[in-house]
Amino acid sequence: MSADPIEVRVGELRRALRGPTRRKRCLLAEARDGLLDAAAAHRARGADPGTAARRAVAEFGTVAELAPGYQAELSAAQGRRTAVLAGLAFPGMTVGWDLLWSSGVSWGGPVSEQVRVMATAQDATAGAVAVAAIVGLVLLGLGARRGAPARHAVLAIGLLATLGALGCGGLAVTMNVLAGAGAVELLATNPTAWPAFAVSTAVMAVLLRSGVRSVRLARAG
Amino acid sequence: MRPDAVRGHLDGLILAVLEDGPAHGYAIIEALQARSGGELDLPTGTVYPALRRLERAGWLSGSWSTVGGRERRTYRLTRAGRHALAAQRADWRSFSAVVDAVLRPAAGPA
Repeated sequence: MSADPIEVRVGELRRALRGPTRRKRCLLAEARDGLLDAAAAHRARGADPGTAARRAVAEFGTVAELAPGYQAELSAAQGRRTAVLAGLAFPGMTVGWDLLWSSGVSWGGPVSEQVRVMATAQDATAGAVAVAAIVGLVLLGLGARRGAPARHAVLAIGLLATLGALGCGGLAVTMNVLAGAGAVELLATNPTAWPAFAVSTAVMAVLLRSGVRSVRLARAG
Repeated sequence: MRPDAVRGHLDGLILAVLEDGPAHGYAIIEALQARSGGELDLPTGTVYPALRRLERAGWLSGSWSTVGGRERRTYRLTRAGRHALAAQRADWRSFSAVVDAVLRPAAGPA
């Protein structure tokens, strides 16, 4: 028995698309529902099930015609996700570390000018990326209204999140290396510092992964 | 009708169909075909990403619900969507009036 034309077309479309798994599944489920409805309508008009399914698939469009539109939505969904993550994570980390420092946790000795400058740079980067992420979200929404391709906004968001995570992470590592003995003493005398470092690293890793995904999808079109 | 000509206006067409009330994807496609007298020749699959985009734009609100015994994604116009529809209608009216005026054969002595 030959394969159901509807499942074949949905499968072809699925293989042509990349993006967030749940969103992809949701979108394809909706498309399949539509195909089933269309086939049912043809059957109601007297076609046999096989013909009805083939007609529904023919009216639906080819993968070449459809994939760009579907991919654009998946890319936009990924971009949105990265933007929201960046918009929350960067301010969250800044506030979290501020709380930690003000609770008395500190490096052993006086902080060098170099480290102070880096700390300011880190805060500035975090702030700038968070603001840019929110701007990116707004642009995605406005672009959706004009039917503009989301690709550019998604690429920008992805790059910002990636570079922001690398930048803030890099600055953090450098500061701790420069603080040298102070950093070791910090970890030795403050048990709260360990989870703080661990969480920061995890958050930056998640941000980095999300940013890279957005960049990849934006370039895939 | 050429699909290219339709695609640019698809947003407005979808919003107009939903003005009457919420509907799911296939019902929207049927309404588009019925209201256009079968003249709209767009691949039906293109409607689903368009619906998601209009949702992202804040003009539609979508949700899963059970219709006819099956889980279906239903869309309804938001208030912003109604404004957008009114704006698109106004734009279309003025655009078609202008083109009409220019295309009209010049009246003059035979």
